[in-house]
Amino acid sequence: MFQPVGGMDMIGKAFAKQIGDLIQYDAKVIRIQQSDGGVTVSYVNSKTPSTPQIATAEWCVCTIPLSILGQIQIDVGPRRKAAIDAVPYSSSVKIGLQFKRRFWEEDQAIYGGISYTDLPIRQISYPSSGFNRNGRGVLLGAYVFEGANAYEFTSMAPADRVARAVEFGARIHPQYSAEFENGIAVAWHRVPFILGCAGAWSEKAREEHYDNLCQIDGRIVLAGEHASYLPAWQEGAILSSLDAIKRLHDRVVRI
Amino acid sequence: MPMSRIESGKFSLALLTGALAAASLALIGWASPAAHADEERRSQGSLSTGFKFTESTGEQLFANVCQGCHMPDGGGATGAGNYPSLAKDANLESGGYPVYVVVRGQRAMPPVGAMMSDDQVAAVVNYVRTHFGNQYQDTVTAEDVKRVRP
Repeated sequence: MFQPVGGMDMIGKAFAKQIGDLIQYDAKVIRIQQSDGGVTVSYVNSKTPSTPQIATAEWCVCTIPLSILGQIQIDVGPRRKAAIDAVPYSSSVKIGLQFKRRFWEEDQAIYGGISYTDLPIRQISYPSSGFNRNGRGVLLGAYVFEGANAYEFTSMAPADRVARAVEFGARIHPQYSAEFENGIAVAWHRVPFILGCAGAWSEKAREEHYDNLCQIDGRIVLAGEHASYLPAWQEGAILSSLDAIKRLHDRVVRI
Repeated sequence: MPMSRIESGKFSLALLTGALAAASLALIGWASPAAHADEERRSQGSLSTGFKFTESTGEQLFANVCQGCHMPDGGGATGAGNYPSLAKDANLESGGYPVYVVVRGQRAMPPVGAMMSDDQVAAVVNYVRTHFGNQYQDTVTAEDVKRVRP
């Protein structure tokens, strides 16, 4: 589960394949209303926004990240709203670097694993598969999570993020200079659909707001990594949704 | 998880088995420098070394911290949600407000001031309030920042 072939989002895609066209893509939610009768969600097409569309249902499981949800008008009580507004979103940057050959294996007998460093890249992670394969290889050339460097990498131009990851990594692996081909960086505060990496709960915020966040509010319940004790992990999101659905089912059955 | 550490000079190579997801990376060429000309001038020299920011001037702090979200022109951005614009921003009229937001955070904005000294917070707030079309004459001080620390 940690290393699905094709990347982490293959897990999400596998779910999507099971439910097919139940999913409506490019729907930017702008309003969530509820009453005794049901829930009404207003949305616009995020690519060609025009007249808002409406979706109605009896119940709503809302998994919109709090960073976004905090800016959407939603009919929930004050404790829920305060909880939604209580969670900052963390900074994270990952940088992938492609090399002409798997020099870490060929030259240094490094097979998988991680090099940790106090350089701003924080770590270099080596691929756990394809050992001894000829030809090109890809490293995770930086994984910078929270702390000053995450914001600094986020603030760089995309080409500079890659350039600096190569510059720093070369101090650990001099082969970088001869073998580097190209790279790509993802800075989570630049990802438009979440505006940050994950909900960054402080202990104080958890004490004050977490239970409130998770409670069913009328016909709406929230779920997601931000409504879990495993922030930033798909596992947290899945556990959160199973828990929310179970509670919602119990509520519905009791009516 | 079994781990062996090989000390080698300044850094250690830690070999873990099977821990990290190897993301499948779409391998594309570098973004051409011209496409990001307005950001390139800001790419700074030395980066911070610990948890806290080592930049000292308001200009450096904005370029290395704030503009990651609020963008190089301070104009903010819109995705599924918004990063507010700081340009010609009436909300900045009372200096205490941006000081509070930087120190405490606000909704999804992290309390980045936790990684700054009182002087750094004052410097970056004063910078924003005198750039991007803002021309507020009064300044905030380190004392103002100290007062709102949690």
